[in-house]
Amino acid sequence: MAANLLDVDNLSVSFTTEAGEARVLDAVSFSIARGETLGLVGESGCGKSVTSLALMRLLPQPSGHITGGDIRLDGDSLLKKSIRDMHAIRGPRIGMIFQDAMTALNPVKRIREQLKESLTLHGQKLSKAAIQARCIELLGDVGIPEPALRLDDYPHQLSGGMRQRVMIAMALAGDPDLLIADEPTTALDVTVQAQILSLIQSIQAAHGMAVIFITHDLGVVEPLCQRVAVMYAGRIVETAPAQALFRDPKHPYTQGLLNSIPRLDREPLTPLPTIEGLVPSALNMPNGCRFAPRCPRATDRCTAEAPSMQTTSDRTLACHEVSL
Amino acid sequence: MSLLKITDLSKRFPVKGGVLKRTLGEVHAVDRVSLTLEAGETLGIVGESGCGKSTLGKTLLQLTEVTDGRIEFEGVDITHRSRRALLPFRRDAQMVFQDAYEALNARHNVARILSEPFEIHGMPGPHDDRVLALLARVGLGADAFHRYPHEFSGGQRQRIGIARAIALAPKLLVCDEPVSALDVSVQSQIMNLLMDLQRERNLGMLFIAHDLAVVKHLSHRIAVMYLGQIVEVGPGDALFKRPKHPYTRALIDAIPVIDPDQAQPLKPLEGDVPSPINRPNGCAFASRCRFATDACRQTRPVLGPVDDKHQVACIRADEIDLSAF
Repeated sequence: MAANLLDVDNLSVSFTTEAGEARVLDAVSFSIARGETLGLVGESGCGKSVTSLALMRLLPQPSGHITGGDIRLDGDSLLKKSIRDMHAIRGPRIGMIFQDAMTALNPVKRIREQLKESLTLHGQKLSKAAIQARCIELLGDVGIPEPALRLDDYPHQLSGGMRQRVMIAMALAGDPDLLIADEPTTALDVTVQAQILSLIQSIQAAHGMAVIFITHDLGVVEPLCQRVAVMYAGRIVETAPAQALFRDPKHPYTQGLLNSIPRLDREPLTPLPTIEGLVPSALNMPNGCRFAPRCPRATDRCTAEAPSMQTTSDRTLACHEVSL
Repeated sequence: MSLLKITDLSKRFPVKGGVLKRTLGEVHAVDRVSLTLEAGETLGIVGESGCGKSTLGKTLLQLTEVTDGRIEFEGVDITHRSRRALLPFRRDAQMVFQDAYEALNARHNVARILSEPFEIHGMPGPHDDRVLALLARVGLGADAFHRYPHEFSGGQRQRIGIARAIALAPKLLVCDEPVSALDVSVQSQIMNLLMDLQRERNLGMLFIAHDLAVVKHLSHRIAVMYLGQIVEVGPGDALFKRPKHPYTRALIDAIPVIDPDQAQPLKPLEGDVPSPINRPNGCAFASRCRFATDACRQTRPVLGPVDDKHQVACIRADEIDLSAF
């Protein structure tokens, strides 16, 4: 058995668009140990959601395709799997929860039918009574009050937080080794966000599964993740243990990102540090380091040549100007 | 005299149902809200979705009809004025919206979008120089002049939205979640722009947002809303250091802290916001409040003073200790 649960090795993804080939992911590498939580952080368009879709082999067809690299689950390449084999992996091996539970759930089916689907779709043969019992158990596990009554509800009858709980219950139905949570709390209010985050925490502790937590919000990463990978314009620029990243960010982009967050302990009504400029378009990426056009420390070398990845035992960094 | 003073402002929406579309009840979106705003001051309004903060903004600008209460602008009662009589107020009070893409006409180029305020208020054209000055002020180049909204990024579109709002040199600016759709690196750019404009033009600003850290950074005073009511209002520092309402405390505790040295385990507030249709008799927050007593469920609390700047609507504010948990 391989040491890591998941290895993503130099993964590249392109989208064919009318305006040309968009290289959305460029040689992305990371790995996750069993039971570990990895935060995948970046701003819109950095490729974090595409990474998760690529892992599930769910890239939009026919425009999206994997152009290089490998994804290995327990040492076994997912890119060589047939559609049928992937079907057996989604659910029992890798579960996923999405940002917008209202669109991810089927609006015209009762919660019971949707949960039942995720229980039976992957070939489990269960009696009607067993399914009913398991559905109630799952809803109870995710903290839904009176689960037996909620089974007959439609998604629109539930609040946003409750819908997200149903999504989590569906992902848990297969008892996956790896859970991918793509911005699961972004659409929720802060108090509900805190409920969902602590739910994910406790479920992870109980099931011992690995979690990839994809978010744009560095604040939600800290309480949840052991390690963090920061993405910018389709590349990973830095990975580090969560505490080390927040205490001592190395990459100028990570530093800029952490600085520009409004914090409660910052003096109000003072100018906030910003990252000037805009994220480059995937159709027209800069040649060297992709952050160079916005980087306060960029040199000629940065604009000419992409930095290679520096690695130590627990951190990686892609920058010419800073060393680990 | 305050720039803006609203007294017992209410906005209720009828709930219709059945075959005959009879009125079955009312949604109390804004429920007897009173507040004041001075020139040069930013009042932040925070609350979770459905608390009525956006409706409050729209109602006080009279973009929707006022159900009850009174709005005074520079000491003059402007409640229930006709459209024509409201025109001078419309010029003095402007709004910045969350989604600039929806708020800008996709078929008009920037020149036309930014000329429109001048045309509506009957200023003689051409307006090109005014538009160019506006673009420069919000940090966009002159090359934006002939371009269309879809050609800009989210942050740039919000700059156009802000340029339109400041075109007529308003005295009051209502910003409804102006940065919540933006990435952090862009969000801080737009926040800086709003703070600069406010200082430079002595704007009275109402800043509506769900993100407490954003609101705290931009505001002189903050009002916390829950289910259509203001439950606590006061200077940002006092509110965050010594919150008096259990809901304010819960909101602060729910913010994830990015500093590992200050991080605390999450202490989520249980339950959901009650329906604004069948709102509880007593304190609206009682169903989720760990300090609630029978008296809380029966008596509706009103805003009372903590000190001369800080007010709270909680009948137990003096006896409970919120610093302890």
